[in-house]
Amino acid sequence: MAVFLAYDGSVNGDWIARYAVRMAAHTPERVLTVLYGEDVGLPAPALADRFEALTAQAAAQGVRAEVEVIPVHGGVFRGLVERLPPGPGTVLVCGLRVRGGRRGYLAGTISAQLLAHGRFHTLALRVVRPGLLGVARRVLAPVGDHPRQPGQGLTCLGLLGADIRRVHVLRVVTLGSVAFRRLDARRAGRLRAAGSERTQAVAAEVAAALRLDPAHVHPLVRVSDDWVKQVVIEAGRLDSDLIYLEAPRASLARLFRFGDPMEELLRDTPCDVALYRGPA
Amino acid sequence: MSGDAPFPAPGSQIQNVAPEEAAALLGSRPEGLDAAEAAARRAEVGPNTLEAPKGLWWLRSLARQFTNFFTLLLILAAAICFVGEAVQPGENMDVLGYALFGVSLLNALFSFVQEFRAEKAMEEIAKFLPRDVRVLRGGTESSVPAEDLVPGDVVALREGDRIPADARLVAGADVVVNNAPLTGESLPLPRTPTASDATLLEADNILFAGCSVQRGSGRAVVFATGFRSQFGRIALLSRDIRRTVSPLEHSTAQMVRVLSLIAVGLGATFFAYGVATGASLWVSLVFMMGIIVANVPEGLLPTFTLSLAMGSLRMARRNVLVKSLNAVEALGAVHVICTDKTGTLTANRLTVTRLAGADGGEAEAGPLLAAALAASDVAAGDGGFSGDPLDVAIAERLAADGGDVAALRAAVARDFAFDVEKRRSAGITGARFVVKGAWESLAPLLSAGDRAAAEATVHDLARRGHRVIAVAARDLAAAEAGMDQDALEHDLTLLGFLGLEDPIRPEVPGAAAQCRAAGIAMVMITGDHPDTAAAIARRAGILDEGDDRADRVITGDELDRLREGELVAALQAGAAVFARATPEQKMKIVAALHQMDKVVAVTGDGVNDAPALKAADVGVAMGRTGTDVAREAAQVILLDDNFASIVAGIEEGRTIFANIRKFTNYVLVSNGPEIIPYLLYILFPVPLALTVIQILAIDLGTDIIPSMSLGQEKPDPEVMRQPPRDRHQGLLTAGLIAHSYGFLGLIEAAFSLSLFFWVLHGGGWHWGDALATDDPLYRSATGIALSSILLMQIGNLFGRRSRFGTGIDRGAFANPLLVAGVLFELAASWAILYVPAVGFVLGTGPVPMPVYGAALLGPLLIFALDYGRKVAARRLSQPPAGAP
Repeated sequence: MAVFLAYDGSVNGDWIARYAVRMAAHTPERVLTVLYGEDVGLPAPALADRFEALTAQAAAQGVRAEVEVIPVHGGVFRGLVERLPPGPGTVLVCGLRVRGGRRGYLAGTISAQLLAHGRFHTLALRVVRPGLLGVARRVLAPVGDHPRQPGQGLTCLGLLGADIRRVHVLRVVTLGSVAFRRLDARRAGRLRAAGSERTQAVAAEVAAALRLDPAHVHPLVRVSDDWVKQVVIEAGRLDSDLIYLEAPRASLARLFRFGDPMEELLRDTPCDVALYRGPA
Repeated sequence: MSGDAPFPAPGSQIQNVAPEEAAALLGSRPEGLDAAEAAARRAEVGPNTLEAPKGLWWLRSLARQFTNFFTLLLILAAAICFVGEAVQPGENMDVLGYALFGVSLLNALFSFVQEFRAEKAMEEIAKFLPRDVRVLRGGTESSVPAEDLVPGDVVALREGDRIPADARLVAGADVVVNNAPLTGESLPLPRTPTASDATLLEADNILFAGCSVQRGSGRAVVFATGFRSQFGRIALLSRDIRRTVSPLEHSTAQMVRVLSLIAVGLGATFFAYGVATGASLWVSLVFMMGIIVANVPEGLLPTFTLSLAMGSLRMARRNVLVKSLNAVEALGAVHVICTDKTGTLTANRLTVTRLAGADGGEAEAGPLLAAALAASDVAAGDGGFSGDPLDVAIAERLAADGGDVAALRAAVARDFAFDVEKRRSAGITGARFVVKGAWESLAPLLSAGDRAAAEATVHDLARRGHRVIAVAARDLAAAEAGMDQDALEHDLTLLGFLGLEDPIRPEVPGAAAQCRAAGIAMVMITGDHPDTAAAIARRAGILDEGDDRADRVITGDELDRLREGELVAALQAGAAVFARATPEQKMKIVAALHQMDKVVAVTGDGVNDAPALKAADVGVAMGRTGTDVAREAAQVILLDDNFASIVAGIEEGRTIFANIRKFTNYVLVSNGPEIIPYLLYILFPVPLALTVIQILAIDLGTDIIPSMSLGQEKPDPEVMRQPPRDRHQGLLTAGLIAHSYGFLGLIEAAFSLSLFFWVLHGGGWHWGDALATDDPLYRSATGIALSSILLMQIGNLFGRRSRFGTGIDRGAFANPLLVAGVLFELAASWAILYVPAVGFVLGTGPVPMPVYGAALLGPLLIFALDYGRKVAARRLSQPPAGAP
């Protein structure tokens, strides 16, 4: 497994790099390839300092960091894609837009393009709790109905796995707001029960992949009319360090359905967020 | 990464690294960020605030209130009135329309205000953060607004400061913090800059936002701000967790849906029938409206609100202050009470109740207490002793036993204050050094002795619910008098143990017994040792005396490990005590109980209780000891912090629901005689016996006071001997509909229509004759129909007071409002016929006195027939499920 980091030399990039180092530390090769696009803009001396620091930090964790400055004449996205070997053996760690604002954190970013590209594993991170130093011990993993989940996500989660002490696998059964307001406890119970079997199966898969005691992987099913708010509430309630979920599909229709909620989650998150996508 | 960034050990978080590494790991320096860096980071992570959401959220909330069934139905009724006025001008229906619209507006605004108040909890939480903070920016210390703090900022904190964000202490001496807002524990906690192996929450080098520096000063590097701090997490949960829809809201929504369906279904059917049989579109529309008006109990919803408001006043008299009207009834529907221990079940007053010798036998009180007092810090004042509650308890017991506390304290030469880390305090009196504290902290300081006996004594006392304090001493040589505490603490001799209790409030066992009789489960959540917690639960009546089953007690650690499904199983198996548990864990317990379909009440007083108070069906805050945050997050406030008051509130809540069912039943009965005239009119060539305005006069006029009087009925003695109602049990059951429409409604309809046709026939009317609405004969006939309905509602009113009894047996004059209601109906039935002004408005006229005399038999008839039904039902022991 080859772990790559798309690095921009910023402080936020440093915080994301900590996750990448931790992930590389959990591969047999213990190598992290740091990709920096030429002409990204940092002065050479400052850049050299940062590379040196990053390499030293990686070394402190038993990881060999190899820095590569890649050509980005056709754009950073193309530069990265051309450099990265396609296939399930490649993991790219990158960051989301640092300042959300009206543009959002994900929409239109190179990370969104990389997630949609689907030729290798991509993990896009938003770090809001740098004090964790890239060590997430309590992970909240919201899952949907797609049979693809959590399969592809297990690769990256597995690389974070040695630090993880507790995983909560969350399935939010979503209703329309009118239906939710009229929802009685009996129907809510039926909906939870319907979602429970799959959530338990996912939890078992996660426990096996992370080699965690199954008692430390808790399946949860919630019924809500607001998926984002429920995920944020659960992350707060469970004191999660990291929300780990699959990135939305990039098609236009999906963006209309999921794009905004994802931006909402990235804006309101009480902890770090990792969006993953595996090779198609 | 900055060039001087250190290398954290694998798996390290900020609390695990050396203090000199912390700043660099956060992309900062010991001299702090510069202003530009801070501004850039603020743009990335947002401001360090816990503000309520801005924008137009309140508009959405307000709009939502207008889409609930309560409000929609009232608006529909108002619309019907306006249409009625347009169809039949001059009948003042527009006035009723405005009145109904006003009620709907009030209903919606009331709900909106309730939702708006949720933001108040956030405001109270935000007050825990300081406005300004001293921060190092580019090596210079300056004061900046706390909201400008970002991860990497180095803050300078001093004694008395509130902590603005989660931060890693990197320099400082003798820093002691109070984490009470976060943990609920007000014990002072020493903090040190050195690296810790603990988790973030347990590390002793972390300062948490919202907490305060009690002593010392230091510098710390910020690593989490705003909602990303631990305190922010509580704020976020307090803001975002939505309260569950109350059982009453569900019941009324279901009732309104059913009644709306009946009304609209019947209206549409007869509209179609009218059009099909050749009636004009306009006439068919009028009849459709009439049928809808007749079916919709317009006055019921305002009566609900009034009944709940009056119930909340009664609750306030029993020390239960209700902030949300829905909580009035929700309290009555509670299946489980999750209660704190200290101050709610107990008096929150430590008392020395056991004195044990080193061997476990009874100790001589005087010497042991005098020794313990020497290691205490207590002062005597006008109002009694003051100081640490433990020390005060020792002084009080000593004084009660005739000891001279002042003299004994005066003899103390040196005091060694309680040390949180050592968990003991000490003192020198005469030539004797005395230490008192937790057994675990004293045991290593003792000279050789029978530890096994001492251990057994400690365990025994804890098992009986005592807080155990060991007392040890040794005689000092003259040279030792000036030595420090560490040097003196060796070769101590165990003098004995003090067993302290926070006594159970006297009302609690009785209240717990009431809960058991009422089928309400109790769960105690406490930070105490499991043995102590179980003993207290036994004394409070939560556990049976002698119930030693291990599965009844779950510790906080076990709770953390349990999956939600496993917790549900544990609760179903009888777990009732959660020991060494934290307020945050209450939410997990509430979630599991909700999975079990239970209506849950949760008590709380701290800031960190706020999320659980919102997650519960009924959040109950403590009025005396509770924080403003808890009070704002709760729906119910206990003015005396007493568990027994919750039970009193439950009794009131159950009574209110029973009364709501009574007046719902009462109100629906008059729908029968309101609907049937329309059916007859559309099917047969007969005059309309009741006009729309007359229907509204019943629903929004004469029925209101009697309905309210049923809402004021006193609690049934049986109300707390029945299990809580099923969460799904609706207000409108098939039995209640059958009884209201199919039995009493038909009787009222048959009797009033008999009188209607009697008057018509006596006035010369023949089958098929049409009568003008201003024809005196028609006005008299319709007048007696209306009058007789009002009179029969008196019989209906008494019948509704009791399920199987006469209703009069509950005291004819015991409910003054009921008497007023009866007098009002009598007066109205007379005025309709014989007061010209009333007759003008309602379109009625007088009838001969014998006819009115016959109408007066109506209440007796309906009362007798209903009582006959009750007798039959009681004999069969299978009363209709819906009948009250």
